[in-house]
Amino acid sequence: MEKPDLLQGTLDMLILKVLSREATHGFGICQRIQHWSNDVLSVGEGSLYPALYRLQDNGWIESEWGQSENNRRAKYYQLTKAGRKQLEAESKGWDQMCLAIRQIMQTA
Amino acid sequence: MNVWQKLQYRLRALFQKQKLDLEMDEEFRSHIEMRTQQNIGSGMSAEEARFVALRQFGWAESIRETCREQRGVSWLETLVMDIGYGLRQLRKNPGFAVVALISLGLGIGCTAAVFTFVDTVLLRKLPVRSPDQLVAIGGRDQNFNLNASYFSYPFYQHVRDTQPIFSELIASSMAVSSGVNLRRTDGIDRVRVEIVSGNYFEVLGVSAAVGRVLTPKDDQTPSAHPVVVVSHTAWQRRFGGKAEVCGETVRLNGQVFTVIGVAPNGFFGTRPGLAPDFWAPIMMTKELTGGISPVQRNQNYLEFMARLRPGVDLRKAEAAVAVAHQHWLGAESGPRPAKAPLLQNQPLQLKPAPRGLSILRGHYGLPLIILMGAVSLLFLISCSNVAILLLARASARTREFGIRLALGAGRRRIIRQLITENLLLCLLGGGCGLAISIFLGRLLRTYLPGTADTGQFAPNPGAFSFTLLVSVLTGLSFGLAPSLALRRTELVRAMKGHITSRSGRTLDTRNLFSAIQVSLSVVLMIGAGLFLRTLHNLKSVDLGFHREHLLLASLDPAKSGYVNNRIGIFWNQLIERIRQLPGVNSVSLASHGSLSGVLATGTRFINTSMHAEGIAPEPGENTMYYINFVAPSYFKTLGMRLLAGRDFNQHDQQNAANVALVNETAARAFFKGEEAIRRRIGRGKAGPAEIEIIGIVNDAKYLNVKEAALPTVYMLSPNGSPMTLHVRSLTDVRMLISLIQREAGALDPNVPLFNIQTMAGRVDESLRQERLLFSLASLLGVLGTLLAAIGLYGALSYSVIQRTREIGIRMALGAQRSSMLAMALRRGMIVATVGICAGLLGAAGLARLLRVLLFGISPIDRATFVVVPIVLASVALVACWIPARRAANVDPLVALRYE
Repeated sequence: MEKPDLLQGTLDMLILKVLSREATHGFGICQRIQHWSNDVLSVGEGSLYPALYRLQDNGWIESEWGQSENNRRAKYYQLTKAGRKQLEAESKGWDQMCLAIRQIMQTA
Repeated sequence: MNVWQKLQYRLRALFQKQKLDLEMDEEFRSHIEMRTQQNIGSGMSAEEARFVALRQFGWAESIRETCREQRGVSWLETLVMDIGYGLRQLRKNPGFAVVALISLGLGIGCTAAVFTFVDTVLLRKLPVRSPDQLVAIGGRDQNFNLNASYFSYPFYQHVRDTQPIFSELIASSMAVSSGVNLRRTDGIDRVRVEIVSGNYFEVLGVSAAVGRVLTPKDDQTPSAHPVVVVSHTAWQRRFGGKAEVCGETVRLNGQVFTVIGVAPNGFFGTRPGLAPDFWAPIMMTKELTGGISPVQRNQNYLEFMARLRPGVDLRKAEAAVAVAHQHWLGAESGPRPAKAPLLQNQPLQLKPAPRGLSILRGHYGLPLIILMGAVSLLFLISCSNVAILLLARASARTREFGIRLALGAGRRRIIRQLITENLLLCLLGGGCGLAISIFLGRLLRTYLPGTADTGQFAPNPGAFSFTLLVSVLTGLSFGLAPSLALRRTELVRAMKGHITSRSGRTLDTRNLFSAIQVSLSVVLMIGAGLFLRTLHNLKSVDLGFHREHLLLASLDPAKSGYVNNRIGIFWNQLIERIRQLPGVNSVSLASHGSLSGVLATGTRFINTSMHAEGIAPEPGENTMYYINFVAPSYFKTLGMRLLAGRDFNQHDQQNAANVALVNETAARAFFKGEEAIRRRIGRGKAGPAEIEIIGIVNDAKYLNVKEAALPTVYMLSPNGSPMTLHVRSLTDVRMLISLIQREAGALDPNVPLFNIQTMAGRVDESLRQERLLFSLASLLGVLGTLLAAIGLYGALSYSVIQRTREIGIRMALGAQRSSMLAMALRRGMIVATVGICAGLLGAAGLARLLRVLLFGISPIDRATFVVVPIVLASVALVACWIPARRAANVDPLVALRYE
């Protein structure tokens, strides 16, 4: 199955969504995205980490060191209030775009 | 995240870079660990799991780099890195660094310093309200900057009150208060006081920094307003800048004045370069000048300036003042004092004066303009030098750029680095330039006549910024030019160190710059040579008297209260005392100390018309004669020759006889070849002639060394004041100074000696302008030549390095070392010769502009035009020698292996 490319904007939205459910580390985000999309989408580390730093720079997520499952130190990320707002906004925007595209594709 | 948090984040990123990097590493490591565990969980072996995890992660370094960039401070980091790299490059190439910094520093520094000087004397407007509205009033055809026009106070009142256009007319004078005595507890100082009309400050729009300024109310009744405003500098110096200065008193010429206020900082009156220490109302003229009364019609000592309302036609104003003048002259009568130049029958003229009145400008105007030209040439030379150096260096670094491009650097990154490096160089050069400009500025100030206020000549930020900017632009354009031309297709050649240059051409860009430099320095050197010869000529001119072992000192007993006969007694006593001193040959007095110039205090410059009995002057003939009031034995003291008749004797002096001696030129002017002795002359153009001529002396210099012989009449004036004491000694006259001061002090400590100077010193000082010009011109010439030599060396040196391979091949094929030497030398000398020829042509054209300043030589002086090219050719030869030798010493094996 071809894995479609993830645009930068949508990656940000997905990360925010994942973190809205629960705080986790980078690897965890990778896992969840893959799992929740039933292996359709997978994020490369090369895109993930720059995105995480960017989101952090924008103030939408914040980070904290903690203990991971296998007792190692890992950096945990969580959503901020501003991030929650951003997620809502992007989600709405995405819905609108999907609707628009579907309408175009369905005209015979 | 708000701005404050972002800033904190950035600062953390900047200063805790390592810590953040470690954290990032740890994060990546834990990620890979977790993936490994997952892989093991899905059945891979430990090794395989880790391998797959690593591969999955991707190119860590690139991810790290992207993440780092997200921190938002990478531009700052690269900047710091580039600066560090630039500094290291400079350290590794000290020759280049030193030469570039010196070139930049000299160019920027000299130009900024000279421009500041010129700006202050020539260009800067007065620091008053709307200076463009100010005009000065004077006689027509008079050069305001050389001869001021003087008027009387009653005339001032007449114009101001009868002509509404001149409701804002101010009168001021510094010429008459030729130094005022200020009594301190421990002695007497000479200070400068400007006597001004009551509305002076009001019209100029200047208000007090402390206290208040003079108002018309302070200028009503003669001698009734002993108040002064003190200048800001004098306030700092004499009163320590204390705030309670109002109410303090100063004793000027024996009269107590009260300080009522302080002028604002930077205000120096209306004469640039001549800042007074105090301003006093005109009504106090009598006290301050020892005799001149402000209400007398024939006392002409005030200079007029007026503020004209915007929209007022200059012609209308001129007409108005002409009307007032005619009206005035119709009513005027009475003799004029000898001091005032004639204004009768001369229509008055208005001249815009936003820059004030300045005698300095007249004396220094042309030389300063020429100086500006010369220093601009130096600036061009220094910029060319920088250009050559940068071009050479950039070409040498193409290999480095090629490798970096091949390794993946973006062109923008390289350009950014080059910009940083060049800016660094230019800023460092600018720092050197600032130091040099301050130093040079101080040096220039010492060349001004003693009356100039040196506080006005601080370095000008505008001038400095401009020169810095030009240097930066030069540096950037020449530093970047080669790199911008570098294309990727030339990478391979670049990496090998080959440059796509036209190394065969003799006159490429570098050499062109070099030739330009040489020609400019030829021009500078010729200028210096011309000034040197002028100075030499001036120094050896026959003055008409002996300048050695002659001491001058001025005294003014009238200012300390002496009147009439008591002055004569004072002089006699003083002369007797001094004559008794050991080593004194002869002593005399004169009202005008020769060669004192126009600005000196204690000297009376007298120029008035006279006529001979029985001879009517022809129309258009000059009837103006210079008068010097002297004591007996004046001519002996000065070493002048008595050509006919006799000198003054004591009998003449005691009986106040109406006798005079004249110099040759005066005798000829009066009597046109006829016998002059025992003939009579008189003042004015016609009328009684009771002065009998008893002798003729040789011509002697009166005002300055350059003048043509002036017709001079010498008369007695037993009770004149001020007078200049002339003392001739047998040996070094400087040793007598303290003795003379002691005698004068013993006679009367209230009459100080001032302007104490040897005649030799005074001659040197009167040549001050020429000395200044020569020193600066020669300095610029030498600097220019030095820079041009370095440029020549650099250009040739680089060209030799470029052609090392070619030289190696030639030598391998059998060419001799000497012919390689000759080839390199020839190349360098061709450039130099082209430059020298161009320079000679340019100098020949420009030298004509200097004609006014030269003395005794023509602008196309043969000696100078021959010597300078020879000197420059030798310098060029030396500069080319070292690279040429390098060419001769090329080892063919090394050269060919270089590839």
